[in-house]
Amino acid sequence: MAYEPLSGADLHLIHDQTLKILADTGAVVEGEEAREILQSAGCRAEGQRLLFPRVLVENYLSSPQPVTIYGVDDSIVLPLTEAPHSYAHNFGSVSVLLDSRTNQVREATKDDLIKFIQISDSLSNLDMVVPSLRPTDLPEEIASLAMTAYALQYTVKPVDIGTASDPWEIRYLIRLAAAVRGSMEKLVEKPMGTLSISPISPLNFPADITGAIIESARSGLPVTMLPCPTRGLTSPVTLAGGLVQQNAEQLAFIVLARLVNRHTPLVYTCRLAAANMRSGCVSGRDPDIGYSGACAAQIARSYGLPSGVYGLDTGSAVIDIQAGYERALNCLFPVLAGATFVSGMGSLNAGLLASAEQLVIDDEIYGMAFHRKLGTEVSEEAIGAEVIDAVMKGGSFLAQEHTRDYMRCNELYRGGLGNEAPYEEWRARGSRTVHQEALDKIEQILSEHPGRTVADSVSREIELILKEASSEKTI
Amino acid sequence: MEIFQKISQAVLEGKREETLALVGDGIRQGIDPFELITRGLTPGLDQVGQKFEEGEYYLPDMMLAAEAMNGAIDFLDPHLTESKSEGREKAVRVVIGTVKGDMHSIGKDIVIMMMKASGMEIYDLGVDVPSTEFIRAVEENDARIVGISALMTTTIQEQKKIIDLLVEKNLRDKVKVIVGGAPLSEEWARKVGADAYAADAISGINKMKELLQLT
Repeated sequence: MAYEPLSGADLHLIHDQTLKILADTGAVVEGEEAREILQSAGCRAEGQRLLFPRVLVENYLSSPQPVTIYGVDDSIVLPLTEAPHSYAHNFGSVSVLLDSRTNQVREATKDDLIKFIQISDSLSNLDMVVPSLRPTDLPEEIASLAMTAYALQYTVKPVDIGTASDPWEIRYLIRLAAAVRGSMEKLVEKPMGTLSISPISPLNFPADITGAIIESARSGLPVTMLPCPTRGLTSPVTLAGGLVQQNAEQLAFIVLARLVNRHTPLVYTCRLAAANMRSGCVSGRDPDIGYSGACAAQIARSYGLPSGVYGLDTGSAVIDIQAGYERALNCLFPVLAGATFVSGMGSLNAGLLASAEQLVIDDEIYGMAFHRKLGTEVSEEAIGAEVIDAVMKGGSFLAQEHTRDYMRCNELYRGGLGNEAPYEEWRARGSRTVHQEALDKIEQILSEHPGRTVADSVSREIELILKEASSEKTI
Repeated sequence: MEIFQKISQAVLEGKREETLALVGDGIRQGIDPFELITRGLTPGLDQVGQKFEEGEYYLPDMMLAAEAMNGAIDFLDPHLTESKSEGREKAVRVVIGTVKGDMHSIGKDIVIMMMKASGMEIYDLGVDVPSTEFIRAVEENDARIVGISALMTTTIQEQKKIIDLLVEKNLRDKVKVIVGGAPLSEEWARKVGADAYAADAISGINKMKELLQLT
């Protein structure tokens, strides 16, 4: 039974006002093909804006296509529609990271990216790998493609195929993913992730973006709709207003994508954030981040769509107690609300910084939040009335088979990081912090990780694709 | 005079229609338009700036006040005598835009609002602006300041491109360059050869004033 912050009446009004905005105000839509597709379907033009009739939107909201993604190792299956529980993934993308050994913020390299992916591959609560770091030591024109290229080669888990801002990027991202899967057909049958595209808030779909939407819808691959409105700056300051505008941006996206391909699998996201009203910068120090995610998860579910929300976020620029409590609070709301994906692993400072240590600590936070993701066994056997009886008549719980057996079945939380020993013992062991433990865990992971997880032939093909992309861009 | 206080108050409260009505009244009463600006509007904006410094006012308060101010100034401009409008002609000229590939405009727009309200003359190039456009605008308008905004890690390289072009065209010494955007740093500003950097609109305005020694 999920946490539902919005009432039935709230949902109804949100949906109704969304349709009203799309019908009366519309969205800026550029790109000849997109405008033609939408206008042929009944949208009316008002300058750069297209107005979406209610009937059109309602029609294309019905019967959503179920979404499933698979690992690079395709025996890993992640059903996104009616998922059995929430999944977690890392954030992306930035080109600076906090190197805690030196306490310096520095530019990310290809080496840092690969390590980040290897760590992500090894963390037990991270379900999909997003290549969080944009390497600054690679040619700029292919840095985005390279992120996906390396993610595909160093993990067996599902991989975010990439965020693209034009059709060219979409085509190359698809080619990279197809190279790993073996063919385009196999990729569409078992996609290892989704393609993400962001319109510009408020309600603006430039030509490259509509081109990207059309290209990805035609491919048959799942698409993540990724608007990023900021309350007070690019959306109404109210939470309800922000949710509605974000909803309108998603629904306009849905209509275009499904007009191109009725069966496009789609993921509904929430990246709604608020601005600091003094600086105009997005704030990470904000419980509404998680709360918005919970609301959006509920809205997405009402449309039969899987959701991707935040998640782990903080304003803190270092690994400290502020980062701890803000991240924990912000992740709990959407997890309780049953969001499909919760994001943010590895981020600091409102997603402006990356940190490998924070990534490892985040795995622990999600581990705690997800501890009972599959529910709790409440059965006569689990309750063990006869065990209580036996102990009362002269036994001990420690010596019961019931204790021994259930101890290993997720009844006791067995986290990896952090202290649970009494003070003196903790001191005797060196007074270590969770931060220090995270650093050690990273060293261990990297020494044990098998390295590249794909065949040499696949890596060679990927290199060729990147070379081709680079030469196309530098012409 | 009471009307000056009322005008200041209307600006302070971000009441555009009321500010316009009051300056209209002032003109009809035969008050010198220059005095309406210097004794009515400007003190209002100064108070707004102070409240912002004190943490009582925020960006929306500033924006609404600046809108009231700018509306009134646009109305009064044609009424100013030749000698007085010369003062406005000597206003600092600023070329500002967001670089190629980048659609972010909010920070830039806030800075522009406030620069206008401070009496600067703004040439807004918009967003997604090619580097050559910046150069052309600087040359054509004899600008003293160039503001280059970039909000994405993928587009900040354009800032260096523009500065290099300014050097190439022998324009670098004639202008002060300020680079703006959240992903930047002092280090970045030095690296690309800018005179200053600002992460947000308010520090942008302050840095510009510093650069021109107008504080």
